[in-house]
Amino acid sequence: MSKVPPNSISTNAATDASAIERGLEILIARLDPDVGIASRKYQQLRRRLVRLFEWRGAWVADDLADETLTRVARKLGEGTSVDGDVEPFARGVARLVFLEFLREQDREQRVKSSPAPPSSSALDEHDLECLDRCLDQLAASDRDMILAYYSGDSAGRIESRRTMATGFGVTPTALRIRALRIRERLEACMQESRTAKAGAE
Amino acid sequence: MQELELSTIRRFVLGDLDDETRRSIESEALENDALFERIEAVEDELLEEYIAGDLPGSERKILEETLDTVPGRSRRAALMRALAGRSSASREPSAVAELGVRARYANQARFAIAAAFATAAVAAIAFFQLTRSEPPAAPPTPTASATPAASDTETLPAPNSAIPVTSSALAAHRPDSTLLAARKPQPPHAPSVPVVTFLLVATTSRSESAARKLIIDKPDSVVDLQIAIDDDEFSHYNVELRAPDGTTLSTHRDIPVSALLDAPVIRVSVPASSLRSGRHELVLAGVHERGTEEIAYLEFDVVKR
Repeated sequence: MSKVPPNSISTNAATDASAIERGLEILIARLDPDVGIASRKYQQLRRRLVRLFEWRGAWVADDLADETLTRVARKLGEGTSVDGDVEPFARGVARLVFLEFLREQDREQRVKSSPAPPSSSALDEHDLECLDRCLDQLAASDRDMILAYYSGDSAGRIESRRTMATGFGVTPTALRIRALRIRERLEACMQESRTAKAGAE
Repeated sequence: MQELELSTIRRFVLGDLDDETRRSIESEALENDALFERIEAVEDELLEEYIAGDLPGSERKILEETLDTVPGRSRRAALMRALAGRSSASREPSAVAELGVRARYANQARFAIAAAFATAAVAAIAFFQLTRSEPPAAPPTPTASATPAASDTETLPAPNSAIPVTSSALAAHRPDSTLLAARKPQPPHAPSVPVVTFLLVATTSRSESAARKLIIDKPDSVVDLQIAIDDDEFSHYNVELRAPDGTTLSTHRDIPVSALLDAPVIRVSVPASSLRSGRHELVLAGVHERGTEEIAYLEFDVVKR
């Protein structure tokens, strides 16, 4: 994926790396005293920022989310006082990051008409092999669930999902979220595989 | 914020709202788990409708534009297509319809096994007590739901110990450790605190299950409440125990999930003396970063003898 142009919103060259490192520690501690839980919350916050940028149509959503979190960490590391939860602060920073992105790139040119990264409407052969491997790595119950969830044609799917939701004792929306989370794990697994392949090449 | 209409969320996902409304939804979404997940679900629906060719023309056009510019969304659509292909190749429709039902029965069976294990554990302790040379303890009263047993093998909170009971107090009080401890010779001065194990299965509404009976023979006993949950969606839980008159008897916070034969359970212990005769209510809430979410209400009747 293309990176955000360095002269727009990338971190300042003079940025004190240690401040960012220190700030990350503060950020993690602010999210939860338990490092394991804090780490999950950090990933969740990042995932949400990515989605927010995507919902705004930004094709560099991942980069903008990382830039946001880097800025939040730098602020915290420099001693900026943040009252209450850190998420609203992150949201404010995210807004600034996106506005800067728009200002620099011009929305029409960059967001809609830019040479977007190649988007594939279908997975290639390597991806499909990865998918099979990643499916195998899932717990059997999750694998059965996700395959069942996407089985059938669109008309029959509604009824079968309703039956599944009843069986699991959850609402159809909760079932959809469960499927979505399994799919995210598959995506992450496939991404790791792509990265490994790129590294090997 | 008022509950958003589906059409508004669809337009939000498609980037088809005015700036003010969009910003308002974004702010709310970052702080409101339920709204965020709802938007994610709506985006999923849109993608599925698009893939199935069911998306109306105007929405289809906008979504197609975003697929060209939002790689994450494009990847999700591609994965959905691939999964649908894999599903069609690997699964009979009848099996699909049964999956959820099987899952439910599997959970029920798991809880039944866990309950049987708990009952067997306390029965073993009761048997151990009865076969000792000391004066025989009163036999446990058979009930369908409570499994009282006397155990002098563990150091447990004193009957009148302060409430709330911390989760750390529970760590040394697992069924397996109870059994192991029961087999070990105990010093004669070991504290004698009878334990009553009581298993409840979490349900999501107050009316889904009939109240179970907890029979307390020994007023100085400690009740080990074990609440079987459907899945360990949260890492920690809060438990509020309410007396028959609705007042709060005790509150237990940030309790981690324990395992009973691989089935997730939440455990709290309370002095029997703190319970009253009559119907109690237990409110189980999951703890997440924004607060708590009540997920189950359990009622049980306390009978003191």
